[in-house]
Amino acid sequence: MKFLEVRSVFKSYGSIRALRGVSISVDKGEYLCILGPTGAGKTTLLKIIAGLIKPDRGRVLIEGFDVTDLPPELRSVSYMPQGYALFPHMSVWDNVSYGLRVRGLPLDRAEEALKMVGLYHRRFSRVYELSGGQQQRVALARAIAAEAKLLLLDEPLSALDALLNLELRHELRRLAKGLGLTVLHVTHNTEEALSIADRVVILRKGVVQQVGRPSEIYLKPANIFTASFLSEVNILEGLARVSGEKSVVDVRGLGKLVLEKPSTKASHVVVIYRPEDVLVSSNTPSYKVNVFKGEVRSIEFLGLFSRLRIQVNGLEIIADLWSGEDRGLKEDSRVYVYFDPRLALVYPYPREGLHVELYEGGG
Amino acid sequence: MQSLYSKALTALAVLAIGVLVLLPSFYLFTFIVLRWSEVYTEIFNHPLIGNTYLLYITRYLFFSFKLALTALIVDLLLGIPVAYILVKKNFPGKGILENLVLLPLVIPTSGFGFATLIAWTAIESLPVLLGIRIRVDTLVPVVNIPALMLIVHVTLTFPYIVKTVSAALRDLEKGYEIVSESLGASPLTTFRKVIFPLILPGIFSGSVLAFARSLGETGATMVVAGVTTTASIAIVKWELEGKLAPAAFLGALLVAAALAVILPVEYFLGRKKRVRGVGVPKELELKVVSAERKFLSKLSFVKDAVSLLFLFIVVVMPIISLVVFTVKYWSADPYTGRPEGGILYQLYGPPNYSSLITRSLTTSLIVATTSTLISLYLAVVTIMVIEKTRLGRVLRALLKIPLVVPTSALGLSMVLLWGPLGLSILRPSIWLTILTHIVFSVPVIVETGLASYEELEVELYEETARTLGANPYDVLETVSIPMIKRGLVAGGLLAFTHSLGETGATFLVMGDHITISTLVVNLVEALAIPTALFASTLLILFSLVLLTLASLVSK
Repeated sequence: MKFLEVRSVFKSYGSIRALRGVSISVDKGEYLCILGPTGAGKTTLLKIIAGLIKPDRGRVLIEGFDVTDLPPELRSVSYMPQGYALFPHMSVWDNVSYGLRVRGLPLDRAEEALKMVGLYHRRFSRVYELSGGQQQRVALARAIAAEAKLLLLDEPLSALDALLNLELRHELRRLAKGLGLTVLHVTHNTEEALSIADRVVILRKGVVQQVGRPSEIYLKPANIFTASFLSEVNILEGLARVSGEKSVVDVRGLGKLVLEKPSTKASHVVVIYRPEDVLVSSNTPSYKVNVFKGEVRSIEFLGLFSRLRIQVNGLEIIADLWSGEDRGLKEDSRVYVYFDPRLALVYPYPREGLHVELYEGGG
Repeated sequence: MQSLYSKALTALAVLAIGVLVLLPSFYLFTFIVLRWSEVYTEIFNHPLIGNTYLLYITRYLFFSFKLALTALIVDLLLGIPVAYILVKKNFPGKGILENLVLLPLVIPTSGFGFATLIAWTAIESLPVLLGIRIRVDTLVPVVNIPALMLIVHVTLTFPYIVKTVSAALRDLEKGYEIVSESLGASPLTTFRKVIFPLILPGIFSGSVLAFARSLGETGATMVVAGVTTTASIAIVKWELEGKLAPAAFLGALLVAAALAVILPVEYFLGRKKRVRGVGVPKELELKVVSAERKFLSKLSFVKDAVSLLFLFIVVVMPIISLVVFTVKYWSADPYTGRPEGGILYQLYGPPNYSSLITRSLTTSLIVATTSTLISLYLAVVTIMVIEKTRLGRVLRALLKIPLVVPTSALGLSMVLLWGPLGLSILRPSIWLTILTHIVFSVPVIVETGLASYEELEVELYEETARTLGANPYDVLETVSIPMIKRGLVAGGLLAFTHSLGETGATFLVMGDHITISTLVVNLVEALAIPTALFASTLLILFSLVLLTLASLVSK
């Protein structure tokens, strides 16, 4: 039995269809990230699980019990909006003991929870006297004290600056794991989701695109959208022809690419290469196929690596080079570009066209 | 089960708001329709006086409109610069200036009207010493409006312009102005081409409130009116003389006029239309721009100085004059030296006005306390209905109506609705006064409460509280109300002060239970000047203390 099950949930606001048959299941103690662009329905999904919004159709089950018609206070699910919503008119102690006080329960658990996050000495402080990290810990303590079995975090880190975001995201995971909490964490930040989640759900326009471990999602994206949402990629379009164990794609604007094992039977395909999978060298490489001549248009220094934009025939290809290896390259340098046949991601060409698939459509 | 219960509760709350707050605003129309034959005979076809009342009604309405429009024009000319100063400039004492500007919105109007009268016409007042002689019947040229009346109306209405325009200016992103000026436009050109079109909706909504307030102003107007009669004064007078039909008809026309002004503007603002600039020939535009540049380099300080001087003259000077003259008259009439003309004699001597003042002050305090407490309760429920249900938007729009209904028309409506001619539940008395004051107190408290609610994003906290195990009633008690408490208290203090000073409606609904603000009008009309001085000072100082409290609480 799964800890949480969402079964084909639908929700519309007027003519806007926020969720269109979303199903997910979560194991006990799992840290699940829901990743998607703005307007994907992420917050709506969290609020439906919390009971703050009623779905039009579909069920929500917690530990096998159907909670769809239960009000939020009876679900043992704690919802934390951005900024944690610590009650500003209460002290730390009053915040943490809130869930117990409103239900008339003894307050021992609050003390325990506050000690667990190491902030018992700050129990008389006002909320605004705490740092961002401490606020996060108080919010967690409050959820634990209220006996929440499931924690719903809505963009918990997006208001923070980059460095604090990095620091707090790991603390968040460490605390949740240490306390054995099951967490659903909503974000639009790819890096954040991939770095802390046990599994990631990609949501787009109210439809689940893919569920899987971060590495699965990154290495084997289920569709063009997922592949292109996670990072900037090269999107090549062409006609494929199978010849034996290989497939040859005539890429528009580039030329012939030889790829391994055709994974799709379609003839009109989209081939995606991540920038780090495109090999660049100034000397003639020893490969026999998939080597093209190009000219460097620009070099962006990004720290660990540099991102090159290279004009190859009629296309601009992006490729990443370790910063140590780009010596001697500058704008207008002539280079060779090699596409490794094993690293290509191949998808059938979408029916509504590439633009719709990438920017407008969904599901 | 729970949802049925909460639905019933919502329905009850909406019903209470409808009957207590909204119904009185519209009841005059019902009254006229129900008694049309009576109204028709009285006004259009009286066997003895024919259509004399109709002639009076048109004359008073025309005059009231002229007054409101003239006052509005002056308001705009003076109010926009003041709003600009308040938002854009930083200087020591800005907080005091802000409170000073908003003071006329809640100051007891009869007391303030008397203060203005004294400040402009008394023998030793500043204008008289400067050689400016203004009397009650001095007319402003061209528009033919008594000067004092215009001054009072401008003073009582310009804060609406300042309030809405400064709110609109604060909402504007600073970037627009910086970009415009960095592209080479002078501040004045920036104002005309960029800022003004963007704050136009704010100007409109402020104008509506100012116009409506001027139409309904009664307390101060009665004090300075002399023989001039406005529509609002006519309503009060006719009602007190028992001429209900013409009073009701005039009241209904006044309400209709106020609604006819506010509804289109609300609709226009609701659609959030942007105003596009009018095309001006290029050469003219160049001339205007260079003129603006020159004006600014030479005269910009004049604009600020004039605005501040204006504030001082219309708001501060009357209050100071009032206090000064109260001190002068304390033991004896300063001009004749006779102790009978002094405040002490009138209060504690044979006239024994002190008991009258104590009694009316007690009545006022009871009315203000009771109506504010009931209104607070109703306001909390209303805020929840507005935020939580589909009815919210409609209710919110409807609650603006009591704020623009002329108060004398409102008072008349209350008498006709609850009194012997209507439901026959309440005769004019302290109870009807309380009920009347609830009508305008609820919208005031709802407004400040909603502002807190939305600014603090209380809904997020409510949702969080629900998921921590609190049921809706716990949430209301432990999260919603504590979080918006400051807004509620500030609104409550405003409503309390407003209730203390309300005159127009109170005159009609109080019966024998006279309040302190209406007492001031009666004292002035009875020429009991020393006692009027004392009562006005008492009333105004009392409200100043309350307002200071309100501004401290809301900070």
